[in-house]
This record gives sequence, structure tokens and C-alpha cells, in this order.
Amino acid sequence: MSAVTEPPPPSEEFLRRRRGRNVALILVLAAFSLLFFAVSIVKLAQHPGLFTTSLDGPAQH
Amino acid sequence: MSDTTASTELGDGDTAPPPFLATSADQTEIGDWFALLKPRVMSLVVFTGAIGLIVAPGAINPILGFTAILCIAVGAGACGAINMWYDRDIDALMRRTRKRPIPAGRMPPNAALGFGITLASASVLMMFLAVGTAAAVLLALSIGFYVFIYTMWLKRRTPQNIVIGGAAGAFPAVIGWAAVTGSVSVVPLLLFAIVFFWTPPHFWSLALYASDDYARAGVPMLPVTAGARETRRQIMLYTLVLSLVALLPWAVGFSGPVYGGVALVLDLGFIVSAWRVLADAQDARGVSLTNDAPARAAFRYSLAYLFLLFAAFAVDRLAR
Repeated sequence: MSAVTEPPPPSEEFLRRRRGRNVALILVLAAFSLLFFAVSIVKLAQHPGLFTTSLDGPAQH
Repeated sequence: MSDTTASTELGDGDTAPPPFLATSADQTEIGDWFALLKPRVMSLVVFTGAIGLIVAPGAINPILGFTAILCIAVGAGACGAINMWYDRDIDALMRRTRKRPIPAGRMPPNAALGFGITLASASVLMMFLAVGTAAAVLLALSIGFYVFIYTMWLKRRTPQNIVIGGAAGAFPAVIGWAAVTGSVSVVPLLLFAIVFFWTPPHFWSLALYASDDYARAGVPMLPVTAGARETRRQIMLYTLVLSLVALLPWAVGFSGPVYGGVALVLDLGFIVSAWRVLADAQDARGVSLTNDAPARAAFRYSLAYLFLLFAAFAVDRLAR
């Protein structure tokens, strides 16, 4: 039975790169979410009846 | 979205490329992911796309307009990433490209491919959801044309690679127009034609002074297959055709005297540049004795030409 060896601790360089990648990814995701939200608002404003359902009651004329 | 808007990074020395290819993205810096997008190429694509959007009749909500430009930019970046994945073997052989993330061993090839496919899909989907079907279809077409027709089919097979492949780089103005109007008409097709005929003299100017690179990599660029002398002649011919095409929007009444005047001056400058390339001091084999100084100048001029021409078109249309 072979002995279980601990993996070597990650280097400072590795941690720095990973941190940078994580920060960039979260910024991109946040920007994408914001953009998607803004586009949704614009689309809703352009088509106000788009999400009207029968639960909203009879249409007002 | 085109490699036909050439970047000019040149490495130093002539040493062999590193044989090492990264197996994990752990060594990849944020800047490497950004470099995959070919930001300098992207800047011209964004500019022409924005002009197409600005000059189109009608209006678009600023957020949707921004989204359209962003999708064009991301789509162009996706093309760059997939191109770098596919061309990693020849990129490693050329001084101009061997410091790119994959041949330099800082990024695994499949990571670049995955990145490119993700961006391409996201840009087309977002364009469809936010802007419209016509713009999304055109964006998908331009990405497909660049990846499959130019990169995978033409680039390594024919010296006409950047002539036909230039169509990929000509799409953004049409996409910008379609984002506003939902259709395509004569005006965006004229903008398409301008970029299409601009691409050969632009890219062959670069190819003249990078022909050793292309020869080493086995890419059949015109200076490699037909020689420098014939390339100079072709630059002159395409510049003359471009000069006429650039005047068409004014000649047929789609733009006014502002554009007409700017186009005329820019055309004359380009013709002079091309003439200097043609008349460059050269030996019996057509090799430049001036280190291709006129070709380098023509390359720089071509970039300014397109920026100024499109800017003049937008100013003229907005002023009318």
C-alpha cells in the first residue's frame, strides 16, 4: 500500500493568476447580467403588452 | 471580423519557436485571453459596425445599439480566438505571430477553441434576443465565413485568400445597418464593397514586408506565390478599383460633398502610396532595396484611410 502524499502547496504565482482570473470572470458575469437586465427593461418598454396574462384581468380599452 | 485587418506585431530574432504547448490554463494570464480576441482587429470592426449603425435610417434605443456593437465586437473576438486555435501550427513559425498565447505555450489550444465557440454562440444569441433576426443571421454568417471559408479553407490554399476572405471583414457595417433597419439595402452594400476592395492593398502591403514569415509557414500569400513585383502591381490595381468604389456613395447621391471631397483626397493619397510601392527601388527579383519602406507606409496609410473615409461618411449623413 503506497503512502498518501500531500500535494505541494500552490505557488504565489499560481494563486495570483487564479485570483486575477476569478476577478475578471466575476466582472464579466456582472456586466453581462446588467446588460441582460437593461435589454429586458428596454424590450418591455417597447412592447408593454408582451407579458400580459389572463391573470391581469380583461384588457383595458 | 477579419484577420484581413492585419495586426503587425513583430518578434525579434529568427530563433525556432518554442515546441511546448500548454496543457493547462493555469499558466494563462488575463492578458492572454484578451490577446486571443485580436483587439487591434476588433477596434476596426467595431468602428465600421458603429458607422453602419449610425448612418442607417431610423433610430435604435441606445442600450440596444450598444448591445449590437458589443455583439459585433465579441463575434469578431470569437473569430480571432478560433483562428488562433486553428492556425497555432503556422503561428509558431512566423515571427509576427509566434508570441501569441498558444504558440508561446501560455494557453492550451482547446481552451482557446472553447473560448471562441462560447463567445461566438453568446454574441449571436444576444444579438438575436436584443436586436433582431437579420443582424443575428448576418453576424452568424460573418463568423462562419471567417472561420470556415477564410481560416480553414482559403488561407492555406490560395493566394486569393485575403481577396475572398476580405468579405468577412466587410460584414460589420452591414450588421450595424441591419441592427437598426432589420434589413439590408444598397448603402450598406456600398460600405461592404469599400472594405472588400480595401482589404487586398491593405493586407498585401503588410505581406510584402512579412513575406519571409509567410513563406516559412507555407501560407500562399501573393508575394510568396507570385513574387513581390506582381504583388506591387496588384496593390496598385486594387487601389484604383477601391478609389472608384469609394466615390460611389457620393456619385449615386447617397452622400454629399463632404464625403465626396474627403473621399477624393483620401483616394489620391492612397494612389500615391500605392504608386510609391510600385516604384520602390528593387533588385532583379523584385526584392525591395529600401526594406519595403513604401509598403510599410502604405499599410499605415490604409488604416488611416478607412477610419477617415467611414468617419466622413457618418459626418456627411448626419449633417444632411
